[in-house]
Amino acid sequence: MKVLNNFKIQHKCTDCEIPSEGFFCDLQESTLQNLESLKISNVYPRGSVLFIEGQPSNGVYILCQGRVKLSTCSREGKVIILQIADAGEVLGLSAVVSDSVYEATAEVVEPCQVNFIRKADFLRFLQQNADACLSAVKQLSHNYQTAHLQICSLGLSSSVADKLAKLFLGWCNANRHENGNGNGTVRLKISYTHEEIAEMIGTSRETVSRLLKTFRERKLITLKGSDLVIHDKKRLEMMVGI
Amino acid sequence: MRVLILQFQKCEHRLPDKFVRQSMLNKHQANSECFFGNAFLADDLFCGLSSETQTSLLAIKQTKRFAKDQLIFAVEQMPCCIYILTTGDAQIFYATELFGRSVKRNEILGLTEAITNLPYEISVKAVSPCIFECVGRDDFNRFLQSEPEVCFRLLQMLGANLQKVYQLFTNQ
Repeated sequence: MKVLNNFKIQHKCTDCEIPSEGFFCDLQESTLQNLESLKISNVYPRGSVLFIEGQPSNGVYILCQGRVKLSTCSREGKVIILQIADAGEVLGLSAVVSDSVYEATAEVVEPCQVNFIRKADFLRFLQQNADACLSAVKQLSHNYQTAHLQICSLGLSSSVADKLAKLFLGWCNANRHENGNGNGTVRLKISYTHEEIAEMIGTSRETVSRLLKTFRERKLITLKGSDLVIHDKKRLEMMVGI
Repeated sequence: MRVLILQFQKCEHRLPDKFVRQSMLNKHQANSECFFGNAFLADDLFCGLSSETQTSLLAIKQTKRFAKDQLIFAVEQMPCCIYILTTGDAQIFYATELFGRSVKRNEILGLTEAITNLPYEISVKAVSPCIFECVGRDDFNRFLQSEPEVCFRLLQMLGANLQKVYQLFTNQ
């Protein structure tokens, strides 16, 4: 097996060695075999662009390894990160199933392996494999809920501090089963830069850095490297009026 | 029992979207209004079903009645079923009752939550006595699994609605 950028390229889904909870990772053996014949595997370095916002959709990208940033540009030219996709996610899914343009720009933030499937092949595959179709429904439902929370947070927050607090609470909820200790303290691993956090809530890096300092001073959080500790989730919730 | 299917297939009068108090909303008002307008309608999802599929759907649905001002479900509750409004008026709201809209006739509520098994993101309250047709979460997921055609149609609806939501980010 070829090794590149410290990761092993997985050529066959049926022999995949990466433990993943991806939407397309736990399909039936026969469905995975059908998928094998359609996919084209590629490896992309950091900074590569898989597709651009507004480009007609020509297929889906199944992210096997690495991370990809999905961002959109507001009318004012502000970049907003919709999502940082992790291994196991299918990129460009909503555009392909609704036969529209890609809704975001997908940029590789960590070297990744991607399996590309052409639009017509993918739609036929979904119609012929019920378990894959249900997995796609699950991913889109998940994306819909994430987008709903994000748009409500952006649209209804009275301040940037509110938006940042809501972003942290969203991360807490996404990891609710793993990192809570029952007394309100939540530990999270985050691998985002201040710039990326700023783009998630539609503000500047300087504002995020300043707010993180304020949150630390108010003993709401501790941030050391990639370890984020939310000391009292309830206080954070009260702050945003939940 | 067949009434439900007939209601799905019939294009009902749809209630106009409106906010309870416009002054609550800031400059993002138009975007948010648009967002809450993205309803999943039972007419679209369950139209043109074969008689076998109709029968299996009728077998798993149950009718629930709610009194005026009764909460149908609330934010943070775990999803137990999907709700389809057939009679009466209800209000969807997010975070506060001041921000929301009317539920459309034959609108499916709690759809994505039932699929992902994540807590409800909105609350829904009856503003007049209401009748909802409900399908339990597990039954609905089994139904989707056994009806690939409905599952694919739902996928397309989700895709189209999600594209509309992403458009809102561009308008921020």
